[in-house]
Amino acid sequence: MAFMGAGVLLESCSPGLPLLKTAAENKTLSVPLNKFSGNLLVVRGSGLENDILLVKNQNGYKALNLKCTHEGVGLTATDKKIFCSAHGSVFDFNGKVVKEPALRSLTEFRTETTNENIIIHLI
Amino acid sequence: MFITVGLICLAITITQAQVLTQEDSLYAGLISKEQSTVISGYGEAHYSLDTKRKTSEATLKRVVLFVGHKFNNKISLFTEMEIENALVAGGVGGDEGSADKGNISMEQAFLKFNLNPTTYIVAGLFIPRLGIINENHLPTTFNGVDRPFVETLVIPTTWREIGVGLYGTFKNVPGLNYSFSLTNGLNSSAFVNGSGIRNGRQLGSEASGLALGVSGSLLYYINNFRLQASAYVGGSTAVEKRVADSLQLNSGAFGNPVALYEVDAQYSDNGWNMRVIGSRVSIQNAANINKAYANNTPESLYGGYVEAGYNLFYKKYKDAKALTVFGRYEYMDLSAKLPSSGVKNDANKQQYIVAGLTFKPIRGIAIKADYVQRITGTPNPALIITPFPQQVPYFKSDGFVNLGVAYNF
Repeated sequence: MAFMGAGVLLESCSPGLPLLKTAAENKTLSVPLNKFSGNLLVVRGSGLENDILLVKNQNGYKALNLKCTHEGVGLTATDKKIFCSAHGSVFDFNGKVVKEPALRSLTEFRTETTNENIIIHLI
Repeated sequence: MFITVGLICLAITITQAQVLTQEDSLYAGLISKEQSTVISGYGEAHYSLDTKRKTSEATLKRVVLFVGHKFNNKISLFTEMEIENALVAGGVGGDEGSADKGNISMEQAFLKFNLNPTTYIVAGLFIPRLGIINENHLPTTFNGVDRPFVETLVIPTTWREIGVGLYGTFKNVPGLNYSFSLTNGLNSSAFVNGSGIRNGRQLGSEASGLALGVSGSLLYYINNFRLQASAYVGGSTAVEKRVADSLQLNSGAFGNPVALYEVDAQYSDNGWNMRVIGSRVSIQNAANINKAYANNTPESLYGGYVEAGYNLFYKKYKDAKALTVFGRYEYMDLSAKLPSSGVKNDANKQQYIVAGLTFKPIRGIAIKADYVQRITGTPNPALIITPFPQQVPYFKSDGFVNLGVAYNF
């Protein structure tokens, strides 16, 4: 698969959330399973306006666009919640609003898992 | 256009968890060549009854229209236009003016340049990160019909100026954000005793002089806390050097400097919401400002408040609906230290005890009710220039019943 050749750079900066830089190809981002050690991973796709938070849960993986649905400011993800530093919106790891002014849930991208990768479908 | 529609249809077809709107797709950077425009806004109406003076006021406090436009994945425009008190008649009034009825103003109008997903620059008329309410002033996001008094008179919310700002997050510390801004400075000729530096804001309206202001903040999200410290230092001479010299005022970028510091903390969990803030303003050359403008400017003022609230609906609805009962105590001294030319006025020592309810049937809507007890010192009779019987009676202890409705979308 073409996207398997994407350049991948993992920055694990304790105590921060791990960050994976990768290139988007064919409207997808590919995250190697062996790079996902915890429950949260910030994915930075080249050319994308915002980071994506990959969340591991009981049902698999959830990919949340880290862009506030209030005024579009990039969000800060911590190991507890997702925060907007500009206007105070707070989201949970399901992307749902915990605290306004944001009123809409975060955009979620479809994911699928292969033997070696988590594939994030950007459309 | 057809490409856009096609992408949206494709998104709808293959996305089962959530339908991607055109806006979502634009946000995600999937249609980078296309542009998008977003409209939103907020507003609030107030009714206030003064129990001692036996008078009331009902007003459409403010309506704000937000229009944003995304030019591409790197550059966006943010604008907020505000009308206060429903109409504008007979001049400039309201929160930002001094006479007659109403006010219309631009609360924000800036371009945002994304450097990377977590760092951006803004340029234009924007609100620096100082205090809690200044940046987060939507009426559905705070308790009380009116904004906290400390964040009106000590931190002059909403304080916006022309300039540039840098915002970002620290890579190695999750939750730690920073901001730095450079703006035009204040205008000390407009300072009014009892209102702090509020009337000295230039608000992007033909700001004059060479004065500059710099501010910075650190904002840290950890567990259920939001912790912030911020500071501002700026000049306040809003006249050219020739005039400043004649008034015996310092001129230049930081002439007659004003410094503002604040620290605040917020806690939110299990239906509880708490916030505390303390702020101080120092005006180094207040004596010279008084000589020039005779406005009784203090050398320092300070204030703070603590608030606690609990959402009675939390167990059933989490935060999707709320009936929050809250209490707040505020204290401020708006002329804590006076220069030798200053005139003491104990009415500037003020306490506010606020208790009330915030009902939110849905996010974005708030129905508010509160009672405010205001307690002040005795006004200095030497400062009262209006003769009896035109003089408005002053009550050192006065109560206010307030009702309000607010929206945000």
